[in-house]
Amino acid sequence: MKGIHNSGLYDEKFVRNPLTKPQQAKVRKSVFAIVGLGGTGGFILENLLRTGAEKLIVFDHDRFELSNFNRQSLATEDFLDLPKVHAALARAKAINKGIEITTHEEFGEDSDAIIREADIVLDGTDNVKSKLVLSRMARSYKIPYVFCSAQGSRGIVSVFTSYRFEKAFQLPKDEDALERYQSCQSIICPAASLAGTLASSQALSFLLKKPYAKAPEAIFFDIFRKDVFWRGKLG
Amino acid sequence: MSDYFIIEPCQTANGVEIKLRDRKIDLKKAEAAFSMLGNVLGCSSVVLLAKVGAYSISVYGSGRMMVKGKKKPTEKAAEALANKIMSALEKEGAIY
Repeated sequence: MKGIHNSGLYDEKFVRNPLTKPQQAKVRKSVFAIVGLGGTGGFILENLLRTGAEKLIVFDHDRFELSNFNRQSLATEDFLDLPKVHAALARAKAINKGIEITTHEEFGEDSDAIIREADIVLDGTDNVKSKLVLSRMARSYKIPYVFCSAQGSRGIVSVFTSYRFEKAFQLPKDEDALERYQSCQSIICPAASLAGTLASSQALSFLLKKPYAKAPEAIFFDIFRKDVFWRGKLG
Repeated sequence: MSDYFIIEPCQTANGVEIKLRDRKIDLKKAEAAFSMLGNVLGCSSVVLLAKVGAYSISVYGSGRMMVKGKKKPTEKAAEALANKIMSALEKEGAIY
């Protein structure tokens, strides 16, 4: 549903956003790529949809399972054992039928032709190797890459424009060694949702030319600390 | 060629996925099979959750079984477990 009718609905839906008309138009026409639709990615999607993003590219190879339910906003019994991108598509259409969303069940080094179409890339992946591939891809096309990570009760968010991801995390040159960075992590829902919310807010801040945490600067948080948020430098 | 294949589904999970080759699982019949192998913790129309030895297994009607433990099973252990599960499922006529 496009044209004048949808446009009227769009305006009414997002009238309460504290954005000027040009800012809202910028959100509406920008292309957001979200890679990973799990704990953080699901909340990134929800925030962008609720802000009025209308052009989305989403990637996830996985299907929902029971152990996702504690933290993944798209995980429901209706989508159990179904691809996460199906749930993302249904959620997006439920909020805004005018949305243009393309879904991909694979993400890899050959996804760059799709990624280059984006104005900004948001990272909802759960492993260092994918983050590295994604950050390199975004940097090669000069697309900002919003790094987002949550573990346990903590999280980090930062926007990479030119700073190298490898340097920020002091990654080993031997990329096979990245396997040892992978371990089963428990994550509590408020940490996943906060990381996803911060990532989407940083993406919006970048696009709307507001202050954002530009790498190597990063926003850190721990929901169980007295001072929940702090800023620091990566690398 | 075996009736299933074993894949590593998620790089951060301590588990493997056993996927049937073009076949599905009748969860009602699978309940009897998993009761023989261990404990059935719960069952709904789309998923059955069982505990077999050190592993927690989510069984889906689509033919997908997610096996998780405190440690990721070795390739050999995963294959042995898959064979054990397959013969129990076949015995109960749970595969179609």
